[in-house]
Amino acid sequence: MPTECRFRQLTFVGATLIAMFLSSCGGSSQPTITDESGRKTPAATEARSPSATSSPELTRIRSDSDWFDDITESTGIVFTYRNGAEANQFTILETVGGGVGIFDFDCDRQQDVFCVGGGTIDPGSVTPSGLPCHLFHNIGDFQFKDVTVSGHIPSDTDYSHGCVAGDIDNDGFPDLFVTCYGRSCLMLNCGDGTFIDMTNSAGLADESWSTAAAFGDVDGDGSADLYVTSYTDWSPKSHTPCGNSIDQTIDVCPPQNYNPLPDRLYRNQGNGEFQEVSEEMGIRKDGMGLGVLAADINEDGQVDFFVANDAVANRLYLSSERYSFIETAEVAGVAYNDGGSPEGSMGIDAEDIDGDGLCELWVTNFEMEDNSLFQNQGNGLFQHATAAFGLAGQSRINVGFGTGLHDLDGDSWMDVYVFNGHVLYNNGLTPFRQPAFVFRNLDGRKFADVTGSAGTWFHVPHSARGGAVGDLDGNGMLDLVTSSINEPTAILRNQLPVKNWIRLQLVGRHSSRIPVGARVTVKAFGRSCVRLAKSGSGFLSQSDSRILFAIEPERAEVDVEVAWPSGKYETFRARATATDHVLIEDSGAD
Amino acid sequence: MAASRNSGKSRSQRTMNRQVFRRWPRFAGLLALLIILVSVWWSKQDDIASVCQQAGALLATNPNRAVLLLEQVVSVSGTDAPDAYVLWTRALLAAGRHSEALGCFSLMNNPSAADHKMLLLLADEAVASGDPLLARFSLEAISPESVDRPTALQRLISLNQQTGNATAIMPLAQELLILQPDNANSWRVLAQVQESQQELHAAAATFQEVLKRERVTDRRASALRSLLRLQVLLGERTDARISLDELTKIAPLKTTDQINEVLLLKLEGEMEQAWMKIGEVVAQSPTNMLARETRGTLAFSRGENNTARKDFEAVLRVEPLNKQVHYKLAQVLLRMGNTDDARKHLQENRRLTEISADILKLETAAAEGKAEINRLNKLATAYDQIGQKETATRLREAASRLVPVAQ
Repeated sequence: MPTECRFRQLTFVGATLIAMFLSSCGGSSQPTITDESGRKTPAATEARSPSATSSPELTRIRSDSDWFDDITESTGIVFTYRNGAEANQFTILETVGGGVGIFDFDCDRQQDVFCVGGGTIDPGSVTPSGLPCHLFHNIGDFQFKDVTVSGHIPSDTDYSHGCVAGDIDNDGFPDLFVTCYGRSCLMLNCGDGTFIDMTNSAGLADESWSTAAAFGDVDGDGSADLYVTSYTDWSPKSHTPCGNSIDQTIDVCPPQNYNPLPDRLYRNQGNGEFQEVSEEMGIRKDGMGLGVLAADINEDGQVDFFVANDAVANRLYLSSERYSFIETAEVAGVAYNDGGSPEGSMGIDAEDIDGDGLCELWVTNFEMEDNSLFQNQGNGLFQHATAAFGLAGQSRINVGFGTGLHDLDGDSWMDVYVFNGHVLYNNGLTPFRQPAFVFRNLDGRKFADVTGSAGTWFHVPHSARGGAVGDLDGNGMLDLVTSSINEPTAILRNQLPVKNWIRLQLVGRHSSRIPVGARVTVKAFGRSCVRLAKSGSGFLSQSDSRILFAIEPERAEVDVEVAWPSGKYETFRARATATDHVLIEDSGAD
Repeated sequence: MAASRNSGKSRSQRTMNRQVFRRWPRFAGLLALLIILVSVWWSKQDDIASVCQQAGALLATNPNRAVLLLEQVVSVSGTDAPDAYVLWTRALLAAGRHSEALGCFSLMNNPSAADHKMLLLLADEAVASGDPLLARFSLEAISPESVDRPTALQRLISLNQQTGNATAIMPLAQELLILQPDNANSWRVLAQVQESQQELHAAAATFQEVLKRERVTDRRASALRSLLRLQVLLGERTDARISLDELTKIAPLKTTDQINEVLLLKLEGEMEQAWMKIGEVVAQSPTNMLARETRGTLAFSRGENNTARKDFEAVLRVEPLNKQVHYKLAQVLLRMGNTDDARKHLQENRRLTEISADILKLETAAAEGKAEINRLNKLATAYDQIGQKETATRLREAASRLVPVAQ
């Protein structure tokens, strides 16, 4: 850790030592309780949310209300992602858009919001320049304070797209990696609520076009390594706009006009430096990556990567025993759609949709393509199941970007949201701004389109790109933050009735501090509910990394099984009444 | 006063008559000359018509003789006989003298003055003898005011579709619609153009316009078929169901309609019904490869791997370069544990996918005006590799036209 950062952290820690001690950010003290079998098991650390103690919240029933209420104006979050379209250069750079992050940067147990800045484009030289990212501190009750200007985050980022949070130094404070056209930026969290730019000293000052990123410990050394997707070799020097195929008006060129740039995998050396290991780890060079997900996809306890590529086959990198990857997308059946054709994939996620304990893979796609749900058949094989789940056709007129598999209505089944927006300005056939969707998971069998009751934001078309999901008010229901091109970032409060839940923050000891690749199982509603600890899901965005389970209202306790990336299996007994828990590796029962 | 006026008139009339009679020999001479000239012209025209008729009769049997006759005609008439020029062009075309035919046509000062029916005929013959440029010139000569303009527009559209000149098509279709806004066929042509240019939303909307105007049952059914196909592609399940219901009422469903019904059921998430239906379709039309591929895909999703394998193998026997089916068959074989064969099909899929990617890049470059000879020849080779021989030939011809003329 650099001296500057260490000094800031020591000052801050001195003032907040006690508070930190028991929280996930610093402490690991664990009480023990006796489970039903009489066995002594360490109890999960409880951290009740403000609303969890508020009984009216738990019993509130609003049957006719929309799922989400757009409360942006009252939150203090005033931000618009800019893509430089005003330069009228019609660059492919403008099409990607930006993401948004939900994470607790100051470990005060309230999820903060990070907005990726985007940039401008010089009308003469077509050179992109970055606009500052913004950090909004959650001060409670859906109120946020813009702490960007007070030096909390580096202000000189290049033209930026995405963000991902990870703890690269295992100090308990989430760090940020912001992807850019040009030099992406590693922002190290100093622990005092500020970040410093560590990109150069970390060896991450690559000047190519980076889009999505995900952290995950790929070599089992307990440090978070970094996967970064790259898009194409477009540059201001080679830029020429294209004619729209319909009426030859000037518009953005398709990605096929450019060459793909190789994705990069960086190994965290554990000393603040990263080393590129793409080639030796088996990362291919022929993608046009826009989305990446790090999670344990094949239930072997290791971190795998699923990469959503635009216009070419998706890639599935499964970890092998020798700390390298085997790319298996074609064999697994996730490279193409059910017609055997590659798709323009953007957003990405993985969760157990059908309740069989295996994680499905999900990507959002370009227009005239269904979004693809790949149902996990076990044995590393997947089945394209979009139609079988009732998701076919509905998105074909739209270009899908931001997405996520989350239990938005608290019924224990993973629902899905999809943000849309075209990449062409003058398509003439389908509009630049497009409506977003919410699909409700009906008991793991099918999805129903509930967009009609999703809320006013969903009733208006947007040029939407990134989206992050998180519980901003700590009431156990997941809220949404959106990032649209040249439109204000929106805060959508989930106003469905609050049910019973538990929420888990995993803290690795042998595994990396944020144990991406862990699998968590809770028995609820008569079945085993599995959730993944993952990184990089969605589109260019960071969602709340805590794992939320809906629990039956009458339940008082639940057993939580955690398969840690280190290979350790543990069971925790947790109180099941709208409660936050911190589960620390090595403190549960084997 | 009236009498004096009458007497005055008679006097002047008499004076004039006297002058006429005095100059009569000169008038008579002029009149005779005029009559002779008209007679000569008339006989010449008669000769031209007669020779043209004679040449026209020789077109099929002895086009070279027709060429000779018409050469004489145009040498006499100059460019004043556009119909003769058109006929001469036709004769040259019939004689296989394509360059001369094109040259002959381009000698005409005002081809629009030629008979428009004959220009249509010339266009047809030019198309038949593989000379699209002459056909285009001929059709374009039919002026916008002509009653034959709609026919010419339709043929120009068809011609541009054949030659892959996509950008020229849309304005023609739009002009046709302006000329015949209440004609269902004009809308149909526009819809087909939109569909061929992948403007599927617009095409679907235009087919709806066709249906508003079309009263003939067969043509309504045809429009509904197209609309159904588009709505299924667009994922518009509710509208597609309405179209299918209407189509079912007015016409028996063809195999393609039934396959669209299966795809619609799939869109609706009715996988079991889709499976039942595709079984019926394949039973009726076992050699329909689209039906087999659709059943294979559904069988695979149900885990009926043997059926899926048989269907995909059947498709590949007929379409060995179908890269998507290679991928699908590989997926089935992997689930059946036959990794060796699966690998072969994956490799073939990869090879064909790479070729397709090359094609896309080359086509994009060509569309941007970078249609270099080497690029077009590479593109032709790529099309050859995926079995699209006609496209390959067309591209090679285009490349040959780009060869610079020797100085």
